[in-house]
Amino acid sequence: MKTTDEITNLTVAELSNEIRSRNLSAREITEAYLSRIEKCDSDINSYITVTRDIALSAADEADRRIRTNENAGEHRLAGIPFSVKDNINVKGTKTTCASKILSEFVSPYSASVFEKIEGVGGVLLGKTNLDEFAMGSSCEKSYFGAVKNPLDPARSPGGSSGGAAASVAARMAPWAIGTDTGGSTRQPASFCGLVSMKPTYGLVSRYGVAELASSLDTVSPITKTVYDNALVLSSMCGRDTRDMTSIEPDGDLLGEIGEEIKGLKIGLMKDYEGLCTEGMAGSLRRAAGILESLGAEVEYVTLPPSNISLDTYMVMTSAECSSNLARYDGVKYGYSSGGESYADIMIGSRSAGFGDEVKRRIVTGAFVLSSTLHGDYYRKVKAVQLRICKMIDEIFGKYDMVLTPTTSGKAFRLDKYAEDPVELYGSDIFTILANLTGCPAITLPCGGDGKMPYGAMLMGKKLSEAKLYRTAYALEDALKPYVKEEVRFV
Amino acid sequence: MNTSYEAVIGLEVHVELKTDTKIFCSCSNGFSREPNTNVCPICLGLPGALPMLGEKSVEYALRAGIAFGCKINKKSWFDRKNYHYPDLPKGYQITQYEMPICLGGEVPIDVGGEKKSIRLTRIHMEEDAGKLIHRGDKSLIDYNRAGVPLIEIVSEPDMRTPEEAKAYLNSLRRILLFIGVSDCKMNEGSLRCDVNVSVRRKGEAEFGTKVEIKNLNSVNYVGRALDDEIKRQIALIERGEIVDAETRRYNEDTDHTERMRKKEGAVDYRYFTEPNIPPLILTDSYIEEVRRRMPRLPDEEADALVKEIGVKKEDAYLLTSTSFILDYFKKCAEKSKNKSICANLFISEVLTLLDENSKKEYISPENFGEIADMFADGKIVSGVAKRLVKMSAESGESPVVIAERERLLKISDEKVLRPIVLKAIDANPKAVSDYLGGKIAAAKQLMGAVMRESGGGADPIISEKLILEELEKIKNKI
Repeated sequence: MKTTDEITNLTVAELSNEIRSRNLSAREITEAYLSRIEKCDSDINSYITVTRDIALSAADEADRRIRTNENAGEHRLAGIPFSVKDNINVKGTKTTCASKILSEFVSPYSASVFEKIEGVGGVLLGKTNLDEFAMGSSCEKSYFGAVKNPLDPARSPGGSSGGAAASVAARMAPWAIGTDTGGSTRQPASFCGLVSMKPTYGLVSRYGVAELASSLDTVSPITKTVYDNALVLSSMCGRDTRDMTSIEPDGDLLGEIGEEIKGLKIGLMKDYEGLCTEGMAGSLRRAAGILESLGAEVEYVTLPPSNISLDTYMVMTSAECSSNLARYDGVKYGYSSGGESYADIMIGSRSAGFGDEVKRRIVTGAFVLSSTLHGDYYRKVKAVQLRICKMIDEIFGKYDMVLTPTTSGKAFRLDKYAEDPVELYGSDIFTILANLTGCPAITLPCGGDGKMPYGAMLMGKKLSEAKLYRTAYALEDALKPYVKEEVRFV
Repeated sequence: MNTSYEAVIGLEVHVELKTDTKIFCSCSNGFSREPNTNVCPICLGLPGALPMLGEKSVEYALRAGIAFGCKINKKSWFDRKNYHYPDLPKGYQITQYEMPICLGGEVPIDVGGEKKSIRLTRIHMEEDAGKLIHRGDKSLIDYNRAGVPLIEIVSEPDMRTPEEAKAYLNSLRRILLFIGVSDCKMNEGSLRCDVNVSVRRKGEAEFGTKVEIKNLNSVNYVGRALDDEIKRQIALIERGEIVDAETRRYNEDTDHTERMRKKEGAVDYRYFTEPNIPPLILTDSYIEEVRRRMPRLPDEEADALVKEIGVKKEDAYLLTSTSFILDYFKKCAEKSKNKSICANLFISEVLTLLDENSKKEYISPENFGEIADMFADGKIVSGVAKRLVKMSAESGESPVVIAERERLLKISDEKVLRPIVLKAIDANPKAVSDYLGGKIAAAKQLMGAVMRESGGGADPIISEKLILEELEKIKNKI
């Protein structure tokens, strides 16, 4: 018999082995996680909904399949629990997007990515907290209250997938599905000492994932290890007829893991020191050195200016979200203020139903799309985006990948940006480039300041996930002496 | 109309495509009596639901583009038109704003023998909205129509009279019906028409102020609304007043147009490219494939009928109302020896029972062919042919068998007919005395009696000859 702590300390790959060797049942694992949630989540607030009944029946079904070896019973995720960010629909459960306007919305359908994992025997533990409609980088802007960083409750777990990252960091889920539009899984993963790959745009179906900025949104996993990440992303990805922008992966994502990285050309972001704390810079420098020592060629490379990327990103996401959120009018579903006329209902519901950050972006979006200003903002940034993509194409003509910090420093204190929301936008400067260009990027822990971790990020050209996993896996292994276990698993 | 003025008219026509499914989801595009039953997360705009562009919608839009000779854009895309309205589930409509699937093209019209071509600006694809139903002080929403595929056909301001506008709309409908992309029912909203009209003094180069008349639901109303609106605008100008740029509606009860709203600065739709649908790329081979599968256009088919079968031009027009009617007629003609007689009989006895949306053959082409042949061979009279069409359609029996059993074959034998004629004369002394008194027309009455007596089969020409012979005999006797 293993204890709850022993079970929840295992990685996805280890849990999978335990299940296959019949040392643990899906039921035992699920119960361990549910008890962990019960014990810890009142402090952390990573879950909005815990789906206890769904979890237990899915676990029993997985155990049955594993026993009889039928219907994907042999799949490596069969019987393994996971959490889902609460902007992803699961039929029969609430999908709140951490907003008052959807606080009571029970979805009648499931997202494709959920169906894929459910189909191979994954066990849903619950729906995790986020910044309202995934707008934010601190997980403080949730209608259901802020999420705390399990490594230091005075600090933010990052956002918007802060609940997802916290659920894994606090051992309340072995892995989590989040969404990343500008860094929303990588920044929280980095703040919580975890791994997250933002895949190539379209690699994971967005069908059923409440949209923020449709042209930048991706669905991405948060895990404890690089290997786990490749393992779960392999099961999440692929072309889906319900998402016209979805694509197939380029071969097996796990295919290169374990291969050496000798001869890879890696561009190290020039001038990163000026954009991050000394601690972060030192950790990244060390990571670059390790990559070199493993045989990679590391050279400085000039990336598109991050302030321009940031402006482009803000205009695009505001524009798209102002349109994407127009459907919440208090008429069909969700919170309704009631009223005498359609205008009354719509204005009343939206005024009371949305938080300040959401309103700020909707107003900004409507502004940049307005016919008189369209040419000055939206059209211009679309052109800038093309230029940035061209620059990145050129860079990936020369380099296999680039290395940058994931964030400018360790997790910030909760409330730090309460006074100045725009300054918080700046915390995405390293991550948004991958979203603007549709490229994959993986963050992994590369050191820390006391118990707070730093993340290093590797970004490659589209569909180069396998190569990124290979490099990250090698780096993770070489960094082990510097990344303390207690940082990673509370 | 004051002849020193001319009107400038352009039409925007929304056509519902009769695909099996909606444009962006697999919900049925069929009729449903129950509100909100043909709906799903996609057409209801639930959080996270994404559009999937249906291929049939693209094919039908392409067919229309080919039929009107448009330039087909091999790369087009969809945009979002953002506005709030309760029947619009997502708070935006997915439409083609910047780059539509078809540009240009033209629609042929014929007003009183005068032929003209009306240029098209564009044809684009978009999704329909739901329907608001007002009940007392409440409004209900039915989303069954939300996501139904539409094409919007925008004409250039090339029409100058209400008659031309009507002819344009008729021609448009005829072609769309024929290529099978829509049932074009204006009264049910599957074809909806907005009209833009301004007037100016003849010879002026500048257009006058444009007024839009919305939601005209019959070709007739388009004509009447334009008549009234043109008169109104001319009267305003004559009085030295100004025509306001505004949106009006046509009131069927008063037969006048009335103001809906003034155009106070266009609504800002904040258009931008729909990020969930990649650009629509049409390959040459796909366009060719659609072109190959399309029927010939109705005017081409009508010309062929005139040339090959020798039907009259007006009849050819009727026989090419829809591709179903044309195919049905062709099948009947194939089973008939005399195509021209077949055409006449088809138009008088079958076509009158069909409409634009008929899809069911009234009588089998084989049975129809037998009737046409019996008639052509002089074996039956026209009244019998008419009866046989109905009888055979109802029972499915061979008309030859029916005619023999019911003794409907034409009786030409004088030996058989004379006793019938004599019987009719005996039974109608009044008609006989009228005839003898000089009323030649009274012979017709006797003819009717002969027909009745013979079960409709009497050869009218021989019967008439015998009646006159017998009447002359009586006259001579007196």
